[in-house]
Amino acid sequence: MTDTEHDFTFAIDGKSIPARKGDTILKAGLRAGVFIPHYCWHPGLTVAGNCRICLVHATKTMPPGKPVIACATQAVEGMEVESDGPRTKALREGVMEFLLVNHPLDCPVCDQAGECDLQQYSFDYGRATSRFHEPKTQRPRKDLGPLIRFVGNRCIVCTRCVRFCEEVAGTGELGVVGRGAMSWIDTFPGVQLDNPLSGCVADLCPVGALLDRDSMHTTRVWLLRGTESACGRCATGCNINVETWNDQVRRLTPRENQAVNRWWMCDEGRLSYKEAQAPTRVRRARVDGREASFLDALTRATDEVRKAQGGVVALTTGFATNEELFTLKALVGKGPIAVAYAPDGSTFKARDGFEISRDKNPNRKGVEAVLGATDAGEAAVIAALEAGKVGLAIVHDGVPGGAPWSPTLLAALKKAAALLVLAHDDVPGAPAATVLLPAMHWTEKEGTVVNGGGRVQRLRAAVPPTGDARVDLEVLQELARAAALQPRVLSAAGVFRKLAAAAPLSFDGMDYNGLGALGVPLGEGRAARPASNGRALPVVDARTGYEAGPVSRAPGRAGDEQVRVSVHRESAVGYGTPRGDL
Amino acid sequence: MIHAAHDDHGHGPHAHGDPEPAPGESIADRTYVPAVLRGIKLTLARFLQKKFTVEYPEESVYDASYADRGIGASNPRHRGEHILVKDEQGREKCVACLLCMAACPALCIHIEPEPAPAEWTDRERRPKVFEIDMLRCIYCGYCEEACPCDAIRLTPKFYQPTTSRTERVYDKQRLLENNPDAQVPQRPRK
Amino acid sequence: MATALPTAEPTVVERSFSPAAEAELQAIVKKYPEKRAALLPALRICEREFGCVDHGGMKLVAEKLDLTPAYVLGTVSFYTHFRRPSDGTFVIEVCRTLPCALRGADDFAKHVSRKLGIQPGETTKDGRFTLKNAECMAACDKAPVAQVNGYNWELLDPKTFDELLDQLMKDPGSFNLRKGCKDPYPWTQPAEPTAQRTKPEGERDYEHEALTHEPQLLRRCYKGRPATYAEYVADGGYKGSKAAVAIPPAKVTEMVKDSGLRGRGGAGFLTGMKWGFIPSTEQVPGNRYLVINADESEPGTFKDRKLMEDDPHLLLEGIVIASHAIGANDAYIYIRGEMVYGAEVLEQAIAEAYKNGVFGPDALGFGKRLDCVVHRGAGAYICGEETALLSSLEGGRGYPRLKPPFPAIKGAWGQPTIVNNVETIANLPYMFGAFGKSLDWYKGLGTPGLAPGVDPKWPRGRLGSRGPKVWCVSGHVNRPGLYDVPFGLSLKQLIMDPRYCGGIRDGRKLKGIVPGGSSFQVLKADEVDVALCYDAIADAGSSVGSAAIFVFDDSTCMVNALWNVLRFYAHESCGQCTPCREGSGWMERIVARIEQGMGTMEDLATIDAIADQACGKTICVFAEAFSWPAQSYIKQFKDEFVAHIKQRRCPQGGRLCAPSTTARPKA
Repeated sequence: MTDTEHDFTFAIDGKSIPARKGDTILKAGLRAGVFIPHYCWHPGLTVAGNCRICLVHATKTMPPGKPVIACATQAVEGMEVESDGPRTKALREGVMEFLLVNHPLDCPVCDQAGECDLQQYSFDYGRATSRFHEPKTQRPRKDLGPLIRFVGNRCIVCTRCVRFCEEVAGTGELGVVGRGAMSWIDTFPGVQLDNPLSGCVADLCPVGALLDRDSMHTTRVWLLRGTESACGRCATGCNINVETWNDQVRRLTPRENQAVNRWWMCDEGRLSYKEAQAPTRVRRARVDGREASFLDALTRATDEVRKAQGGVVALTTGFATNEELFTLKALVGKGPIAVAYAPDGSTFKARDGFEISRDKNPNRKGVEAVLGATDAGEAAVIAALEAGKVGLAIVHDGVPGGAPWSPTLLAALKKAAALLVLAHDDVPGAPAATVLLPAMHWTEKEGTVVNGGGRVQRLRAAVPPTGDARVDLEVLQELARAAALQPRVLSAAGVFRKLAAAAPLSFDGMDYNGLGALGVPLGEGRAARPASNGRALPVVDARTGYEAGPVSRAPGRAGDEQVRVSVHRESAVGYGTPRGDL
Repeated sequence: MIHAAHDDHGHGPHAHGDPEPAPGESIADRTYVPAVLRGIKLTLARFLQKKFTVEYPEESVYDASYADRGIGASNPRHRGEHILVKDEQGREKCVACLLCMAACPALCIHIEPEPAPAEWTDRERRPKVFEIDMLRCIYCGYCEEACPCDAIRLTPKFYQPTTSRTERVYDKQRLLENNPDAQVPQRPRK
Repeated sequence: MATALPTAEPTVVERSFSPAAEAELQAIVKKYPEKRAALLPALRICEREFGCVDHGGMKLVAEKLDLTPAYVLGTVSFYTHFRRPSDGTFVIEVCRTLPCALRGADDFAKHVSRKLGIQPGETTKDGRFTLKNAECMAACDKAPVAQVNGYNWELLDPKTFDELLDQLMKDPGSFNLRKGCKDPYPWTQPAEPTAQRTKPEGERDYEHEALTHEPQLLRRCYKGRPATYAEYVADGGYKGSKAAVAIPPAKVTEMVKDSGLRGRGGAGFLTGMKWGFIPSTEQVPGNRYLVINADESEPGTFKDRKLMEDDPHLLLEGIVIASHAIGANDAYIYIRGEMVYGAEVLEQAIAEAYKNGVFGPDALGFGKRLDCVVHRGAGAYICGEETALLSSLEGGRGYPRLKPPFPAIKGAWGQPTIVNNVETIANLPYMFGAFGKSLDWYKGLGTPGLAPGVDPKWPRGRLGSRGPKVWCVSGHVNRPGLYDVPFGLSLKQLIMDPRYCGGIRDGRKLKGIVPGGSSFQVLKADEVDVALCYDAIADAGSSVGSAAIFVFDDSTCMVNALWNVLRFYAHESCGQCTPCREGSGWMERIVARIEQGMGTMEDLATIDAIADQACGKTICVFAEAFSWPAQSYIKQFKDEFVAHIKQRRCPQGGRLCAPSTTARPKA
């Protein structure tokens, strides 16, 4: 069903809401852009109905006149719901007051500040003063697992985390213990919360009771600038936000994409940004083994490519973006390309369809689609090298930790006249390169990758390259121009345009900016409209530069002031506004 | 020409035939001599008087010896340099909540939080880096108002000039905590 | 990454069941449609096998029943009645709830604590005795009450407790813990069989009816042991179920509707109407279940305990009739965990019943099976709420469920289920010919509701009160106990008349009466001359509830009483939804402050605000249960609350009430 199909309508605050059979008031309302506050409800979990913040008054309920919870009450034809009126205001004030009764005044030290639903609803619907003058209940504080800390005093026992571990992860490590006001979340002794998706409970927790230990106490949410990208830890390619502060990645959080990762991401992916900060990272360019400026190294590389006069071979990995692969293909011309894939790793299948792919290469499908090769061309490369016809061998190794090149291949590289290496990490055992340039991490690149499900997704650079380095694509493009293969250095968008135009590849019809935030499946470039996930444009507070998080998270709440944003046409398309609408 | 605002009963300047010259038109006035002499007299008098001038920065603005001139008595509400307040155990009270950083209109505070040492059981975080660019600071005191822990205060200490900009970025809480001249105003406890 | 917090995790001892226990567990699992429902019984097996429920036992049970250990841990931590590893050989639980407190339980508890040398929650150094504060044991007429390893010891005072303790210390092995139940106030005869009518002929004379009423429900009670199957049948028992089984189920439901029977558990919903909500098998295919709510935990209520312990077959006969009517083949009796003896009696009676064909493969005739299972709870008042009971029955924390869907449509294991109170079910045999009674006889008892022909708008409207009734009277009366008198008698007469409760103790004056259990409003002394029936008491501002009448004399401090009641509710709140979880504790803390002299006038307004913000906004009616007494006590006895606030102290020095000066009966 598309967004506009519906079975009946009902009204919220006089506004007509289309609804499908079985919809609850909350679900239909949110879909239509009417915001009703909620803590315990989550679209990916079963209904608990215990927080009571979504209480509304509605007609056609039994018994009449009693407020009902919107998350569990089915909408019926002709129902009239009051969500923005004096009665509902009183309901919400009441629930907010109860929630804050035992809640500690932890906002200054709580990491959830700035993205806390309790803060937000308190501001929107709460009382200004407290009538509570008693001692508050004290509940335990402990680490539930390697990634998650639990602060008991802040817990509102919404049970989202318990339901997640039971219904999505399927591992059920969490339970509610105790009774009454002395209820909290705990694990069984000896059984830690360490399922592969454990970090998601910190995302789910509406307050600061469950916190991600990795990013705890290191920053503030309003300082973070989020960049929408796709995780490069495995072929699932979860849609994520790369959140940075002062040009350093601080944390990764998942974005909703029902076709890829639902609302989740795995712990390994969550921590994968650390690969870019590893001490083994190549940071300075080297020429003939000596450190040099990037520009010098690049100049030397372009010289070598001109000298090579077409005798170019390339080695690349499943981590290269489609644009890099396309450029490499152009560089080698008729020459061979060898592809090394990172070995398979652990897999995990959640109960709702989310899967951590065994394939730890984020762009294997892209390699197959762009290079047309399903097997590594290693033999061809070795043959070319042995035959001594190689003027320049380009090793493009963007794999954190190094790709598993075979020793024979590495040994054969010595036969190349010149060796250009773009490496993410120092690769021990690699022969001395003529030119060594730093390769970028996927958080630092612009480009597209194809995930295991065949979906073309945008990578967006969240941090600039360190020092004087430039991104891999720029380097390869410079080489291509130096080799007289193209007149200009192209951006990722430009390369993608050429890629899409090179029929009969499956990128036909795709538009770089039209890939949007959610990507487009291979082969559907002509048919697909860029899918919007309903997010508003991120509103940046121009005065401070802080991203106004809550404003952009809750679509279309009543009372929002008009915000006028000017965007470049291309960016607007990127956020899901089809070209024709502009 | 200014006419006196009173009834001169016929004795004023133009009352009789030979009028007195208007102010500023007498010979004495026109040669400026008496005026100059009056001025020199004033200058000499002042020359020998006690000076108001405070040889800042060698002398502190708040030296009590200037109190009789009406300046120098430290106004406890004057917003000068910041200090990070310490608690009874000598630790900074600051829990690196970054509210002062968010409140600052001049964006002159930079804080990086870190988890507090495990022995500090009463708090979870503390600042790893706490820098205030005293040149950007407009000494408005919003940071002091925003702080929930009474951890940052503006003292009446007048700033000491430096010769470079970097010296005026007060880096690390240590520098901020060491302000021996600071007159920390006493706040009454409820 | 922030450094890990130091946590002391308890060591988990690996455990395994003996073959006998394993076999027992498998047999239990077969009795339920899902494995998970055997959770509470499995934990009881652990208790028996390993002496307590510890982490090792929880892990073992989790493995056996395909549950996660965290789920089992959550379940165990919800209930209060499992033996913990730190418990001593004898766990002594002293009831501190209001009806017991009114009879000196607080002083008694202090004595016990002194005598044992430990505080509540602690265990003696030699590991022999653990002392715990507990909530209402359903023996309020024989207060002060304590449980020793789950068996009631009633009518205690310092002297009798010391004797008990000496025996436990001298000869723990052979001491019969079941000897603690007392029957000081048997009610087996009418109050005055030869009383004369005082009203003209043709007019109902409820007082006369009550005075001359032969006890029905309590008829076979007070023998000091349960009535046997033979005794029950000799009295005319199981005639009702035999007759009912021969009547089509729809007709049985009609007859029950016609009888006007209303739920005796507290809500007073028309039982027949409730049964009528069960959908047809075309609408909802699959099993139907009958669940008996024997989780009698409302403070002041002790009628179900008596019925089950002394006359279990009455309940069993009613179960047959009800199961037949709704089409159930499985009946589960959810009995509260603290009623250890009651569960034993029921198991015995059920075994007798199976032997005699009351239950079994063809119990309902035409090859229809009826099985009856006793399911023990584990100590949670909220499990008396029907959906919480179902959650607990299915195995887990006793969390009430969202309604709709109602249990009659979607109840136990997703199937249509009827949950009825013990006394409600015990009413059924009389309608179908047991003991020589009939439906007409049944309808003849009690007070009428609306005039015939008028349709009630809402099922709880003025529907009258029919059938026999057992009233539980506790508190400051001379003769607390159970009273089997029909509806219509004046409450004041019940309390004051020497043929019933005999007035207020020690010659004191009446202050107030709570007619329905601690969840309901209090009536002042000048408001109690009201007929004991649903409509009249509702008009007076309270409710019949579970017929738990407790009486305050003029030495009672109502603020202290309210604090006691709120302590109970704050402890028993399940914690699922926000208003109740936070509101119950908040209200308790405010009243505690007022009682200790640190209250303000704003506090009274705050209590009202809490009640308004919680009532009607929660998943179940627990919010009403703690709000109604609070608002009522404050409204009815406002001057006492104001005195506490203005004088900054309790005018009675913090005592709930004066101690008794009259001696209590021995046995």
